[in-house]
Amino acid sequence: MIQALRKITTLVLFSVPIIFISCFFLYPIAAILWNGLQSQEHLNQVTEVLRTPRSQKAIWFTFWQATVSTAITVLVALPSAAIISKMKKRSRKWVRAAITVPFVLPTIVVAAAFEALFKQLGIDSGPLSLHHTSWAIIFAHVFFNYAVVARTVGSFWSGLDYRVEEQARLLGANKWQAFCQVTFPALKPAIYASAVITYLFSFTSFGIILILGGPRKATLETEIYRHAITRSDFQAASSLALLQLIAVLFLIIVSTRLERGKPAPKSISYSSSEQFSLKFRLTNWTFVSMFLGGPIVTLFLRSFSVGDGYGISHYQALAYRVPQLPATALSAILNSLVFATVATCIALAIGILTSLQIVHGKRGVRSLFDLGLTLPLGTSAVTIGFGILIALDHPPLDLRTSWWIVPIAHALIGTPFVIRTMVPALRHINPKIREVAATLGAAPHQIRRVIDLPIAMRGALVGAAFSFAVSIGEFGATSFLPRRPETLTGPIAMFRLLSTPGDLLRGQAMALSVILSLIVATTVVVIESTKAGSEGSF
Amino acid sequence: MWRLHQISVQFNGKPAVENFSAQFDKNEITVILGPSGSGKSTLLRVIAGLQKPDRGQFFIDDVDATELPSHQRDIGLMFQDHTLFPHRNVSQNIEFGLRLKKIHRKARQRFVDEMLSLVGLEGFNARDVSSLSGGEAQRVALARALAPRPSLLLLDEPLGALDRPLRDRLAQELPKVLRTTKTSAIHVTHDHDEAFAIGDKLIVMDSAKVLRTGSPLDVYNDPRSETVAKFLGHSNFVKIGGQKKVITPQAATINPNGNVPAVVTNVRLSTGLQETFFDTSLGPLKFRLSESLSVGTSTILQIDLDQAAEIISS
Repeated sequence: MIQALRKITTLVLFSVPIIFISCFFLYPIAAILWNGLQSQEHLNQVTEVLRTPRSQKAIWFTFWQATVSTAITVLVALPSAAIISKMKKRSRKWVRAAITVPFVLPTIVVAAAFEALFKQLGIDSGPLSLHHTSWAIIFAHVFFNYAVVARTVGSFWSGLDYRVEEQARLLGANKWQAFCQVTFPALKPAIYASAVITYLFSFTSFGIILILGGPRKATLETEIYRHAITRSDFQAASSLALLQLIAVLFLIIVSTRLERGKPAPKSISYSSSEQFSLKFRLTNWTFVSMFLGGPIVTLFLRSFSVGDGYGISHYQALAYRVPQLPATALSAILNSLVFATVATCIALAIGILTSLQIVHGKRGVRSLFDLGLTLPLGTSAVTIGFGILIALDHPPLDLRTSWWIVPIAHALIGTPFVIRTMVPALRHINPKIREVAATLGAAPHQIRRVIDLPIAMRGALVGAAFSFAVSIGEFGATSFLPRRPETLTGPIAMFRLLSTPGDLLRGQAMALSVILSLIVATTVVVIESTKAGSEGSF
Repeated sequence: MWRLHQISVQFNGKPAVENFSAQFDKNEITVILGPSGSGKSTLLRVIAGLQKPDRGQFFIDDVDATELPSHQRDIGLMFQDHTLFPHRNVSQNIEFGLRLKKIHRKARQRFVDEMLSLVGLEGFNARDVSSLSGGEAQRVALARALAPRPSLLLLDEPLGALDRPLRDRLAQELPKVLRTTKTSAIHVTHDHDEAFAIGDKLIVMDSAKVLRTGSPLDVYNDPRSETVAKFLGHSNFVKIGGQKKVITPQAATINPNGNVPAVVTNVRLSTGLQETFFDTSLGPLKFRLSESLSVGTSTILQIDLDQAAEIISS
């Protein structure tokens, strides 16, 4: 009897993640594929959509802006990576945390911050205007991805053996030659890896392009949105989503290849005492604090600027409903908090069950779970949102009008974070600990409950916190979901406020940005303080 | 009483344990001595039920227990290091087995205190396990293994990760603790000093096979084979008629760095140090001396080995 009950429990625990991922990820993605590939006729339509001048322009611009954004990010972040690599452990920790702030900000907040900055600098109109230009987008992407390159390359660099470079110097190379011929080639794997990630983020960027690019600058992502939401042309949107899926899949394959080729940096006790010149460091940090700090500070100040002075009236206004929003901005924040909590709980549950299967399951099961549950990490939020829009609005799964669709979509994006932090924690558990537990009288199912879960929980909680932060700022997928008062989230409210002209609404958007940023910042501080040895890359 | 009957375990076609039979009695500490990779840890895992033997059976009190899962065997296990549960403090580690036996909280607390005082760590109850030193951690591990009062305790190189002075001290304390708690134990080690300090019975293993079984003293005095002797730290071998014989050290040691390091039971010198008579376990030997040297209170004698064989055969 107990045996049978246990078997049923095992079966349920096994199938819950599979059902979740099948219904809310695989089925929507299949719907996109089906829309484009079900017959020759559909395939013809796809090529037709992709051939239109507007699509061609969007495709070209997607690749162009991602390439330029990546190149500039790598160039401006390398000096910081160099300086970070030679810093003392304590100060390095602080600098790394500080430059990571832009990366964790919701993309919609980044866009708002740059709008605020342009206005402050007076370059939102006139001959030098950056309003709705490619450069506005590129600057925001560099701002957002700066930490990816600086942190990844920086920690890799600090693991390099400096004695090799010193050896080159002793053999007659000057500083610059030693760097170019010895250090730089050694850094290449880390640079490539972080560049691919930056490229992927820029390629799938959505909120930033929608707001900073305006109607003239379109990428694949914003075109999918325009076709699906503004024009309700699902066939055209599917065609672009199909191309998007293929491109992202290709980028992920490249990324995993590079990741595999990247040797783990050795932690060596020997480190160079030689520092970069004060002038170099000063110039770099001045630039970094202005470039990374400028938009954030401006955003903060503008949220308090009322008329010619300062005040909190923008914040007070959040409690009142404006015609542009189906509910008050304040209730949008509360909705976001509730969604993030529910989504995190779902992500945690699915993530834990999946991680256990990935680590302890049978061989075939392992790779199935590993692949199935990390796929959403690579898929762009817009594709996920669009897939849900077209697949889940009719029987057998009609969830379009359900409140649950928002936390489920967020959980789908958050689950890979839980898995990615929990699986290593589970793998690190010394197998002998389990054996000792067995000899102390613990049956296999008890071992899992009293040994594996509690130990790996620390890792899972870090992932859950990430998942929470992501849900608070989620915009891409949510923008495809139904707009009703009770499903209005903070980022969606911000987008509405930002896309309507008028200083008063803009002020509210800034106030909303600051509040969302504070929520995310609190979450990240919690993550950093619990995470032992926060060294590492993305 | 625990009995292994013709146990064999293979890993990727290579034998780890081959046709191993042995009996372990109640209230006895058996030491399995062997170099690393000799199969001794695998043997423990078979007894603990963590490794299924390819062939052979395991009996507990003459009942076949080969298929019995680990957690029902009432056999405790202690490893070399890093096996304390990191998410539990000292008390919670020790009471782990007691909780599974559904022992009441108050009784558990009493047990934990008892165990801590037994291993000399009174008051460590609430300590985080990451704050313990290597020696303290192993004491806690021992207390944890002993707490559920297993009928048999398996110790897999429990002192192997400790530095020498601490290891020597614990090697003396361990048998005391085991005897106080009347725990039967099988102790695996590659350290012969530890083996002699702890064991009632000694099993010497190498390359998946048993080489010698007996009381520590018997085995030491009469290793019976060069491998065993070498492993016990003997360095005195005499080649006799193409066959190497071992002489155990008992009375005198003759320069271990010299050409013929030999150990003898009794030495008689005659005719102006030209000839030496050795009483050994192989019978009396007569050597021709080539040199003698006084060092402090002892005398180093250098003898001509080539003639030894001749003398013995006569």
